[in-house]
Amino acid sequence: MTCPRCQAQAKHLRTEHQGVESGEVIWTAYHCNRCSFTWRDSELPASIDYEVREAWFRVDPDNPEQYHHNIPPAKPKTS
Amino acid sequence: MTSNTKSISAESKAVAERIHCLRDYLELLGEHGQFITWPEAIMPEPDIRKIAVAASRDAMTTPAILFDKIRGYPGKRMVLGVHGSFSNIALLLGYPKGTSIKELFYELIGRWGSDKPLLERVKPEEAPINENRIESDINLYDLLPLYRVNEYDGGFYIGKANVVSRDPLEPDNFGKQNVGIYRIQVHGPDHFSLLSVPSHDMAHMIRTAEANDLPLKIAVMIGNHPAMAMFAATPVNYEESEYAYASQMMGSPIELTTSGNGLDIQARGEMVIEAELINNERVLEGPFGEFPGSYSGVRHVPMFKITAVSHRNDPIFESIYIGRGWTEHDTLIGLNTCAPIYSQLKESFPEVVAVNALYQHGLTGIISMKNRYAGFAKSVAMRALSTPHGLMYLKNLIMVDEFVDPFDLNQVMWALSTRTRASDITVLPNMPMVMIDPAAEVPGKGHRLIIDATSFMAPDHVGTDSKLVNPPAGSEIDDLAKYVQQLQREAESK
Repeated sequence: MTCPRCQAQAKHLRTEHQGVESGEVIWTAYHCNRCSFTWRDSELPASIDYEVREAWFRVDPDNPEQYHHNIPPAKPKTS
Repeated sequence: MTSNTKSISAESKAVAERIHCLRDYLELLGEHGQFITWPEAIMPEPDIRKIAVAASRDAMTTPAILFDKIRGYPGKRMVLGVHGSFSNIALLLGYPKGTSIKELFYELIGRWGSDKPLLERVKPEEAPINENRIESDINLYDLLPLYRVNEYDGGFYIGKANVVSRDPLEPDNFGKQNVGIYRIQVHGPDHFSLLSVPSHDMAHMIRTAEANDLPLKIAVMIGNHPAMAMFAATPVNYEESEYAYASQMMGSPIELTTSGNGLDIQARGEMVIEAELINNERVLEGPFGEFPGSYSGVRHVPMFKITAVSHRNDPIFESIYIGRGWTEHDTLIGLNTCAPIYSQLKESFPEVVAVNALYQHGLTGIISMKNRYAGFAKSVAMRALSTPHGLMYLKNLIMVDEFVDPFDLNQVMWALSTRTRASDITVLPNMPMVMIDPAAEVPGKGHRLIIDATSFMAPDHVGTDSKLVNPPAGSEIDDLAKYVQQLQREAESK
C-alpha cells in the first residue's frame, strides 16, 4: 500500500483506527506521515485511488517550499 | 458598543428562556417538524456528503438531520443542518417557520448593539459537559464519527466548533478571550491543525505565544448553544467577548464553566477538546472545500496536541457541510454578516434600508437605499467597502432603490434588468481580497465591482418611457400575502 495522494511507501503510513461492529472490521483509517493525508479504505476511488484522483490534488512532500505558510513560525522548531 | 437594543417580543423571550444548549434547540426544532433522524445505516463517505447536499437545496425549510447509524461508529451520533434553513433560524428567534428573510434581518438589527452580557457561572463539577473526562489514551476516532466532507479534502475535518483562546501575555483577562470558528483538520488520534486567517485574533495569539516562548492553551467546543454557533463568527472588536455578544443577541443567559485548562467554556456543550499549541511546528494542511465553493490549497499550518477531552453522556457531534453553495454555512452566518454592515453604513447614510450579504459570506452584497442625488449610490458603495467586513469580503456590490427588497432576487433582477446602464458599472482594480477567493488575481488581491442599479434622477438623462409604476406596498400588502398563503393551506387541507 502507498499513500493515495503522494505515493509515500508503507513505512511512512500509520494505521489510525478501525471501525468495528460486533467484531467485524467495517473500515480502516490511515494517515500518511509525509503529506499528512488521512483516508479510509471504504472510500470511493476518487478519494483514495492515486490513479483515479485528479492529478491537480497530488502533493509533493519532497518540495515543501512550494506550499505557503499560513502563519510563519516565529522561530526554528526546537524539538 | 451602544445600548440601543429594542426589547424582544414575548414569543422570542419564551424561546430564549427555554434554550440552554444544542439539545434544547433540537427539541424545539422537532416540535415544528424541523428535526429528523436518518432512518437507515450509512457509510461515513460518501453518504453523509450526499445527504447534506440534497438537504441543502431548500434553504428556507430543510430540517436538521441526526445520524445514529454510521457504519464503523456504533453508538455515535452526529447532527447536520442545525442552522441549515431560515425556518430553523426563525424558530430560534421566536418566529414561525416560513418567516421571510427580510423580517429576520430586521429582528437581528433590532437586537444588534446592546452591551448587556447575560452570563451565568456553573461550577465545573456541576456542569453537564464534565459528565465524562478523558486525560490519557485520547483517541478522537473513539469519540467522534469523523468523516471526509468533500472528496478531495486532505483529511477529516471538525468544521463547526467554537474555539476559545486567551492572549498568552494576559491569560487572566476575560476581555481578551476570543471565541472563533476555525477549520480543524485531524492529524492523528490526539493531534490537529488549526487554520486561522492571518488577521484574525487566533493568529495574533499564535504569533504572540511563539515569539515569547509562552504556552497557548485552547478549548475546542463541539455541539454548542445555537446562538454561539451563529454569533462566534461575527466580527467583534478584540476586547469584546463573543459570549457576551451572543447572550445579548439571544436575550437569555449563556451558562459558562471553566475547562480543565482554565478557559471559559459552555457548561452545556456536548464536548470540549482541550489542547495546546506545539510552538513553531507546522504541518501540511488541506485542501478543504471552502465556502466560495472551491478548494483552498495545501498550506503549512500550526499544529496542536490534545491534552484532555470532556463530554456529556452520549454526545452529539454537531457538524456542517460546506462546499459549493447553497450550504448550511450560508444560512449559519448569512444574517450575521448582513447586520454589522448595515449598522455601520446606517451611521453614515440614514438612506440605507437593508443589506443582503448572504452570498458566500458577502462576496456579493446587495444594498437597498434611497438616492439623495444622482450618483449617490456609488458613494454609499464605497463606504460599504470600508466597513470592517467590506474591506476584505464585499467584492461585488449591487446597489438598488429603497423600494427593492434586496432579499427578493426577483426584485433585484428587475433592478438589474431595468435600472442598470453599462456606464453605471465601476471596476476597482487591485483591491484587497479574501485569500481563498478563486477570483483573486493573486491570493489576497483582486478586483472589485460596483453595479449601480438604482433609478435615474436629474441631472441624469431620463428617458421618455421611464415613469415608474408604483404598485401598492407596505404592511397591508405583506399581510395580504400571508393571507393568500393561509387560504391556500386551508384549500390544501380540505
